[in-house]
Amino acid sequence: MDPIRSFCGKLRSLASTLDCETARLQRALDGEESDFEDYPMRILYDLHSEVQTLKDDVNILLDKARLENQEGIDFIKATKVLMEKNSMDIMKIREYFQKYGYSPRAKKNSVHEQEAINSDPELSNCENVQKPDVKDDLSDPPVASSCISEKSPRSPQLSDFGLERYMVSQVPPNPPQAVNNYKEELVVVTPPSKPSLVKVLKTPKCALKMDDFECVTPKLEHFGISEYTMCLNEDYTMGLKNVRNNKREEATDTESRPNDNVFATPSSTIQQLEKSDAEYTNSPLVPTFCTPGLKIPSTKNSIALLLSKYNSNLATPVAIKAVPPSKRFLKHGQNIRDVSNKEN
Amino acid sequence: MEAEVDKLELMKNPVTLLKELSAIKSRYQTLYARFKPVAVEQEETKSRICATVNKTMNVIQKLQKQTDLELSPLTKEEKTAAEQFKSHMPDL
Repeated sequence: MDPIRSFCGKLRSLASTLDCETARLQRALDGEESDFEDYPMRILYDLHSEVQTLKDDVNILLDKARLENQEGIDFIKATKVLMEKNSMDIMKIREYFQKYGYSPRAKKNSVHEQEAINSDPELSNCENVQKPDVKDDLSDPPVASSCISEKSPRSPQLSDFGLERYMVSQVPPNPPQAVNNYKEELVVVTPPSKPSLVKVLKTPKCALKMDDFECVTPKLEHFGISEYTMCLNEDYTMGLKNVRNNKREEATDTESRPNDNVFATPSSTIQQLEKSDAEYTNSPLVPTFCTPGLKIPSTKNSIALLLSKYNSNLATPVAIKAVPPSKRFLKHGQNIRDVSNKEN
Repeated sequence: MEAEVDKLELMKNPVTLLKELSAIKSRYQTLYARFKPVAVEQEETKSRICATVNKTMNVIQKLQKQTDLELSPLTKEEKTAAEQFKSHMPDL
């Protein structure tokens, strides 16, 4: 019973819809139904709008991608600009430091020859911290230690103060050598005498401690002068004076030994000074060339005679090579001016 | 992808347009899937470059201060680039 009932119900609904539709179609055919005309239009319109939104979405995505691309390009450009500037600055700084003895670290290719690093201790610490991570550690530690050991006991050189241009001889100036090193990437092991870079900056100021400074006059005993020897010193001085006076007064050929006559000899110090040789008692003048005992025969120039006398008086060096010295008179000269005669 | 979109715009027939659209959509999805890890790498690289360049610039500035050396002042583009890089940093 039930299946039949359900079947009949379905059939009935179908029939009703069929009636409806036929009525509608009939009306549409007659042109009375308004729905029919709008419906497809509506569908078309919906379709179009849907398509448009989809298009817009696509365009938005595309623009986004383009923008990101452009951003990347701009970023790369900016990076290049900044890197250029950085490399320029680094070059300048490196050149500046090289003037003062900084030698750049060699790359991995030239492992055998490596150099010590540069000036400022804190700077070298920074670079040491950064660079060994990146570059090779092979021969750095031994070289660094050896260079550090060389640094301390070396006496300051001119180039430590940036005055290497005043250096006359010895080591060739730093900049060309360092620049060549840098250019050829051949880092030569420098001799220990090569000065290292000193603080380029201001020299440390140190105030003089004048408060504690005592002006100590050297005591007389330091000079070997005491009350006992005082008289002797005077005698010695006077003796020298007398020697000169004797020479001036008497003729040039004196056989007396003024040295022996004048000096008293109580102290041992003066005994050491005074000897039979006159050379030790010479006054501390520059040894002069003169032959006071020389007598020039009148047949020769009288000027030469005058000159010889002049020499004995003033003891200034005069070249008397033109005059042949006669041996007879040399003896007299030897008494007083032994040294000068030796120079003959 | 752009060329395809342009072709799409030229189409007037909605039905064909819809068909092309679905084709484009599928292609875009595959592309996107391929390039996503690349984009991530790119971002990472960018940030690293920023950091390195900034560090270098700081070191150079410190050196310059210590030596009192006159370095060439930043040009306009350099200034903008520097600004750009500095702005990148807080993003990390």
